[in-house]
Amino acid sequence: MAEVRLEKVSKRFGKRVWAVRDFDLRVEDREFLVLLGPSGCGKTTTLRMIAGLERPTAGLIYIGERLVNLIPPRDRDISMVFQSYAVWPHMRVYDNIAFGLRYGRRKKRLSKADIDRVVHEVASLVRIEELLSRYPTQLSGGQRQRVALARALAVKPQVFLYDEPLSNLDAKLRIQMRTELKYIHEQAGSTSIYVTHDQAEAMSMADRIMVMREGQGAQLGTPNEIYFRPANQFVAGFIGTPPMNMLEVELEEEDGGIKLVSPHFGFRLGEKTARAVQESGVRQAVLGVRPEDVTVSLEGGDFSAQVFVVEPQGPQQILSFKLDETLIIKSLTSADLSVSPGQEVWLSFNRERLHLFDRDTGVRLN
Amino acid sequence: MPEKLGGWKTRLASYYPYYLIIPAILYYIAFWAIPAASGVALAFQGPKGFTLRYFQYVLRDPYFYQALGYTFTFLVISVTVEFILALAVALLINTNFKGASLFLFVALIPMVLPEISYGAIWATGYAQHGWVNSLLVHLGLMDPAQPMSWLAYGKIARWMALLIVAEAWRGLPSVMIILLAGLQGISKEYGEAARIFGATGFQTLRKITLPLLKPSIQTALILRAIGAVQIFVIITVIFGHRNLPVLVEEAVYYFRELHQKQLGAAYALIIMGIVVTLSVLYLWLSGSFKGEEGRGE
Repeated sequence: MAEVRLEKVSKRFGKRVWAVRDFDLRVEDREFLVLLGPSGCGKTTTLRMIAGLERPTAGLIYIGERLVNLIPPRDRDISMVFQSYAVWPHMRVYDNIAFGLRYGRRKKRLSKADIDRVVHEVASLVRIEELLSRYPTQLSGGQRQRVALARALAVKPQVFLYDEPLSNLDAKLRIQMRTELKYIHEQAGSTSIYVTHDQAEAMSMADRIMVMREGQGAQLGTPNEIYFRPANQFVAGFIGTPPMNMLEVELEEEDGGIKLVSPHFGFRLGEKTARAVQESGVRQAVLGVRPEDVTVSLEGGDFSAQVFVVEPQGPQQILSFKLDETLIIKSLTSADLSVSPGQEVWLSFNRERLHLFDRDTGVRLN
Repeated sequence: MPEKLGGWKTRLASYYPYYLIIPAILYYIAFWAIPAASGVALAFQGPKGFTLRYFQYVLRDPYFYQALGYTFTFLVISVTVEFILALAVALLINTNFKGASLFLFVALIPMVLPEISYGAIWATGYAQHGWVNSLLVHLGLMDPAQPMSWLAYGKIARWMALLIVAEAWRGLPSVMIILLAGLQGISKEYGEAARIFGATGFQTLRKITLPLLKPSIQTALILRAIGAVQIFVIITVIFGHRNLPVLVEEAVYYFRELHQKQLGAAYALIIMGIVVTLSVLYLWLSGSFKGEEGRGE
């Protein structure tokens, strides 16, 4: 088993396009790490460099203690599950799974009986034993996905690489597969690196998430750290549905504390937050508040607003409030609160969960 | 009841597609069906009605077997050589190296030349003071005082080699373009998966790429085989008439020079039989007889 380490890894396509730039990452042994980011952020390129399918323009990649930059994919002791599954259509499911055992050089040659045993073992783990003699064209997308998974499991690699493996499945199957993948990761006891642009997938599966933006790491942390203490405005805005409300505010000194001022509301910051703001010296900021931290009340609050749109979500509902022509803030509240568009209500922000970012750099202040 | 709704107008409209193909049908009748039918009739038409004597004559003719031998020797070697070279070039271009598209363009030039012109290019090349000898001299591979007489009469094996080289130059691009199109239709991830799961480059080629390329390989091989059976013009231009007799050349010989039109027609029918057999073989291999249910993606 092994950790994976990337040191100042860069990848340039053509003369000018940097897909990944000076990227550092350390994936612990047996960790499930998710590379998360919007399309074009370099997450897939990073994964392909770890696999050996792309050659880094600069930087070092280690798997375990081994520097693998010059080692071909077949000798890296890895497995990969592709977005398109890449299950070979001209081979039966059995031969697809057995391929890595027959041609892999990393382990000593297995006997026919050993190969047969491993194929049945992994096929039963992903529950496709009855499909072994079929051709992939006779399978559904979900079944092909399981074949790809079984093929990856069969070679018992040190590191599993997943390139958006669930993105071609329908929503229901995707959620079911998340659970299974996590279970399989724990069974296999290997290190897993998983690329996705789906934040819900990342939150539910990862031990740690590396959020990427424009070829660089935006934040590395546990799902809770990423969600509750985003390091910058980008991460804050990328994670969470509906997305975090972002409001431009001024920070003013008042009686030794800090007052937060906006055209629509104003209040004093708590002592701890105020100290952090004073240290930073920043006066122009962006206030981030998650929709579930905006409470709606009929009796009173920080400021009043008119309900604009009501979107029921079963047990919850999303309420939108138009503060001015360009500014809409959203609140996620219990469906028990009965309000209708046009109604005047009171809003207040959960003081414990305020996020303040420097308006110029986007860096977190508190 | 639908008939009542439309009446004669609906009925007329249902024939509409057939009106549209009438010109094409007329063309095929005039320029294909009638000549072909009269050719077939000619081959079976003796002085006293239906006869098989022309076929008997052809099948007893030692020159027929010689021509058949030359044709099939040429077919087997030339198609094999062209396939291997074309596959190598197609794999190379498929790596998308810098300048690949320019290389592809240049490689396709021989394909657009008329048969007579490329025959002439090689005829002048193989002459004693032709460009092949000049090239060899310039490369330092040949003593200018002793040029090679490539076309020295009666060296059939050498001629066959020269013919295969000349024909490969023209046949290679068409094989290559079919294989390249096939390669580009294969998802790159299949090959990448093979590399990850332990295959070497050669194993990936043998176990993944070639099996997935099978439909294109079949198409290319059969089309070239059919072309090889029909080879004629280039041989005449390079080696002169009937010096390296192949099947089509014999048909032309009997038909035009000996004015044995029935024998010529019999030859033509036999050649057609071979081509049809190859075509049916192709259709069978490509799964056209199995209906809609094909394998692979």
